[in-house]
Amino acid sequence: MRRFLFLFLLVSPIFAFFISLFIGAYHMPMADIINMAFLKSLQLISGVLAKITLGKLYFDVQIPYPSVYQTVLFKIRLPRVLLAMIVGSALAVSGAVLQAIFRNPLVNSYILGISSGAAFGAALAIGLSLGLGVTPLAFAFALLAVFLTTSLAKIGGRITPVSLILAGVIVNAFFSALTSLLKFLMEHEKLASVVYWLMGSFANADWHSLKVAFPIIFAGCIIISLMRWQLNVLSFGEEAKLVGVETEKLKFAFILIVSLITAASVAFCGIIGWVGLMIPHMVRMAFGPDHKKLIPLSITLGASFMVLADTLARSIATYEIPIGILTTLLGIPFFAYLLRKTGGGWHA
Amino acid sequence: MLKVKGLSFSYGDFSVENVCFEVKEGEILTLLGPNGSGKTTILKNVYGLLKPKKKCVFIDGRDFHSLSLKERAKLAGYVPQSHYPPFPYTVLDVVVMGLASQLSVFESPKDEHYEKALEKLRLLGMERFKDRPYTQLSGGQLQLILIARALVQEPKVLLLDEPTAHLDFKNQVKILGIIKKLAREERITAILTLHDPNLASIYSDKIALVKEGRIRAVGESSEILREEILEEVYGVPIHILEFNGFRVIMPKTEVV
Ligand SMILES: Nc1ncnc2c1ncn2[C@@H]1O[C@H](COP(=O)(O)OP(=O)(O)O)[C@@H](O)[C@H]1O
Ligand SMILES: [Mg+2]
Repeated sequence: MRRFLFLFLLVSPIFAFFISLFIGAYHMPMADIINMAFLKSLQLISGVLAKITLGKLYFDVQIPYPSVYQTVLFKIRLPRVLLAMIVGSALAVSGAVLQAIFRNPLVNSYILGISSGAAFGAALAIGLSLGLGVTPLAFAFALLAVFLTTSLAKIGGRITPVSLILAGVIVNAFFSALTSLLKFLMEHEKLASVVYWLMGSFANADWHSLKVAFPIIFAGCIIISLMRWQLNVLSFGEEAKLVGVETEKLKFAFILIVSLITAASVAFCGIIGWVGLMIPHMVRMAFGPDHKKLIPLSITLGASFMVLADTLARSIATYEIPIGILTTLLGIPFFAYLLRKTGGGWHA
Repeated sequence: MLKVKGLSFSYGDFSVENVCFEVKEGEILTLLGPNGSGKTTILKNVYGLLKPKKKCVFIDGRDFHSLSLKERAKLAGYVPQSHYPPFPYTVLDVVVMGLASQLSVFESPKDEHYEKALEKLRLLGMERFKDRPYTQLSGGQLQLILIARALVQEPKVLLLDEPTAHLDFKNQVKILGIIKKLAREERITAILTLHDPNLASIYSDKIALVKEGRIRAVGESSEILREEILEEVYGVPIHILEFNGFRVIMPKTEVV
């Protein structure tokens, strides 16, 4: 039974992907979507073949559907679904990694200051109408915030769980205050878009954002997956040194990767809470704390959860519900149930 | 085999000074002394968890602290005293962590590694606990698991900090018996800290008496365990009785 659930969760993103692709504000028959997806794949393959063989077209594929259909499916829905999936993976796996290395159940990647840094960057971009776009500034300030937090937390060459949390609180408070100041000084329309950005959304997803976010997050998840067993050892704190693990170097590597993938997520879709905290907990409660399972399952469950939540966000009402609100509302009851049932799965 | 030559270290208000001793292959040396005398500090310095003022620990003539953590873990296992379990890993998962030094950072343990871990659990009679969350073990069982984790490292040297703390009489005897057996049969060199002079006298080849961060005396048990030395170290009146060739150390009681 558990084995079955394990395998199911591992492949769940495939199901979630298709479900999300079929559902949307603009209604299209399922058969048409499958057909278009199939033809598009053929078209891509023929394009690749043509490139390899220097322009010789083997077969020419036409897609006999209205161009609205194609635009909605390939330019709007597909990139959005894919972005939601990788962002879900990134946030969930980051939470799992940080909870292990800081041995703290209440940690997610926002503790590093990422969210408040990104929020400030976004507010700055919107408020000053810099024309740079929100993403680059949000990304830059997210990383700056992590840098400040970790430098502040480093005492005698080491980052301890307590010093990290305190440093995170300080940096979060600093950037939140600056963001509030900007919001206070801002005109109303701009204020509205800052507030909306802070609630998180995938509405702006396109192929461009995917092209930037995907390689960063994909590479990050692969590296974390390869290194996942080290997290078991690292979660023993100082004791990890006794079995020959260079704890400080390894922690640094993990924090660096987690910062990059979280910053890449937040920069494109704003701040989406709870996923990083909730998904690893759920997996741990069901499958135990071994990171050999925890990491792959956090990646896949994070993807499935986020893309399904986003599908709800864009389809249950005539207007979009901010995804951040939805992830919280969806997550809390399940989380509360698991907590009551298993006592947290944290200590004995 | 293992030689400590002039180990000094300072916490600021507490310091360890000029500690010297030598242990041969397959020998057990016990650090004996009152609470707060610096036994744990010395042990941590020997492994290099704390940095002594100069290089002072040599294994087979090699400067131990010049080795990386990974190389050190292959040579020496350390069984720590205080232990706060973070997550309820299974016993097997904890023991297999001892193999971290033999895996690259991109590797996870495979069947053969779990098999090695099982082998050590078997050796300590703990195999049936392998799937138990190790947060649900008694103090003695936990101690055995940590010893098993040190043993999978296949170390030549074993450092154990109060391996008998919190254990009942039977388990104290059991653990020390296991350490003795490892020393005799596997030729493991062991340094441990103990509180009970009698157990120290029964199980160790050498004893180092520690007082206020200094080694007061070191040598064969019979030379060291003398009334006047023990009285000085522990600050209580002591009797030593002879029984079947063993020395029994007893406090002089004033109970009427
Ligand atoms: N991290 C520390 N910082 C400062 N002083 C310490 C620290 N750890 C231990 N000490 C002090 O060092 C002395 C020796 O401690 P320890 O080596 O643990 O003694 P033992 O193991 O013999 O009971 C004690 O006085 C203790 O207060
Ligand atoms: Mg001690």
